[in-house]
Amino acid sequence: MFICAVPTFLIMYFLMYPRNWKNKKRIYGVNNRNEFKTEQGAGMVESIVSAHNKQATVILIVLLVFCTGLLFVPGLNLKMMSYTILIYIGLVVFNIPFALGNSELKKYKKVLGIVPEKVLYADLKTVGRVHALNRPAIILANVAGVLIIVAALLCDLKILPIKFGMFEGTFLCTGLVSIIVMMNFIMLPIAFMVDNYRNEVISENSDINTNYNRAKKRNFANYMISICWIDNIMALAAIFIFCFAKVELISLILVGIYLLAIMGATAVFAKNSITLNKKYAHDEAKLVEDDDDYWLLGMFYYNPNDKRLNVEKRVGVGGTINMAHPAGKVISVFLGAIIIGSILALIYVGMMGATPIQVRFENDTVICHQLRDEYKISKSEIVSVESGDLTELHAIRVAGTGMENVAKGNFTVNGENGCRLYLNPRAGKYIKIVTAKHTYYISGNTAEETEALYNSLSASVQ
Amino acid sequence: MIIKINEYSDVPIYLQIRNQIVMGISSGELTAGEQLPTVRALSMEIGINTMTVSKAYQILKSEGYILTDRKNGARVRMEIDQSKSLSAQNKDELRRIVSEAKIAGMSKADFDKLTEEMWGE
Repeated sequence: MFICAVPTFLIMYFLMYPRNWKNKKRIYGVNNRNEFKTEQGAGMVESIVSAHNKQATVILIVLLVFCTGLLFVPGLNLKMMSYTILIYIGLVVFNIPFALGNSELKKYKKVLGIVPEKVLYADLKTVGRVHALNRPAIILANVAGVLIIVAALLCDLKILPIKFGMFEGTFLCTGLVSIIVMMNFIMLPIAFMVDNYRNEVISENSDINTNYNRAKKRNFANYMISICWIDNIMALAAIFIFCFAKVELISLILVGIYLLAIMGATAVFAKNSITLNKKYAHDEAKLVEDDDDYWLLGMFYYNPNDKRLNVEKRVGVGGTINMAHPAGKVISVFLGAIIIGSILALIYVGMMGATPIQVRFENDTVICHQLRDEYKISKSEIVSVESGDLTELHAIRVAGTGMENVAKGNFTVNGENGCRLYLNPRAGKYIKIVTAKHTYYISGNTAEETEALYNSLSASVQ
Repeated sequence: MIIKINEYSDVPIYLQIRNQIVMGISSGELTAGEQLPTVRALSMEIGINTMTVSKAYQILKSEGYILTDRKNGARVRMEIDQSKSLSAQNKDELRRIVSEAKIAGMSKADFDKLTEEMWGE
């Protein structure tokens, strides 16, 4: 999470808050104009930029301090949750100076008497002709991804002579590899979409427009292709680590390398974008389409007159949607629901981490409860009950929760698939309940609590 | 060649496209036989309805400036009919402009100079 959060904040900082605003195409999502560079305008713009850049620098320092501080938070669950909250807060807070700067510059445009002309430019020599995506390369990367999934599936089906040891028959490897390669399937349409984005008109010279747009699209296409190959390498590495019994450390290292590689590719992309815009800066601002008012806070595009659904982002990587488009409205609601849903999920996980599990035997029923009743095992269903030490169990999660104080859901235990777990890993002891349908492994929060429950349960069942 | 579409203009967008392509052909920015963007590509680029671009192309085709076919899309005609005269509609338009220039107090010499400059562009 640290590896992920720090570069994200740094890249955001350098992309959103430019040092030398006079050479930039846009300032806080507002088109940089010649009027801003006059003696009268420059002073005001400079004061707006320096004030908000300063705020952003302070926010960056605070976020980096928190990021480092969270490394020392005890407990993996608490650490992960804290980082997730920090990233959410960071993403919001980091945009505040940007949004303020955007609104102040728009106000200043009015003070300068700049009236939006609503003029659009199109270069007939670039329309529909500038493409830079190496289509065979990205399709090859996706085909390679599919082959890796097939390889993982063949291993899981024991057709290929690669042994997954205790993971055999769980299809965990196929699932994980599919999730990683799924990223490629998302990259593929995005790459094609960006390659077909409208070409910016930055100069009256069509050659300059062609070169600029081609370079910009090539930079993004290379970024997409490199991400696809990083995913493929990671998926292959996932198959490799499944051959080992002790996967925890290796997978942690690989996840770290993967995140670093993704961040590295993003940093290269961002650097190339900055270099490209700097190179063509002298050609820009001659033909300025004044569509600033369609960019709410400089981030959200809302233009009812524009028939396009997706447009290039003003700041950052890739594109965004036109929220005034009918499909854009649906997507916006959907994305909003995802964000709210993920925040609610985070709160739920937090509550789960803070709430101890309860396992009790009452009215001839074993009830497993945490936040809500999850398992109810009637005495009549129980075939056998036994107890043991948790060190004897080797459980692999298939679907469910695996936290420091709770492991529940569907697990593969000591090679047996489809077992239901409901225990506190710190308890030290477990109770194995076999019914006609499932095998349950449950525990209380302590060894004593577990033993007491076992005694009452075994006495009742006998 | 850069075309400029003004959303606030009283002139409909299809006519703005038509007029600017004609001016491009006249100035030599669009050469004989040059490929024009497809209707879909141009409409996507400007963010307007495909019907608007299609209408502009249809007018240009009916006026003999461009050729369209399914295989090659739209192209500037290799040889545009040279009637060596203005259409009745354009004569009316020119008459209106001359009248407005007179009302504005413009001298004939200045008017001739202006047309001379425009002719050379």
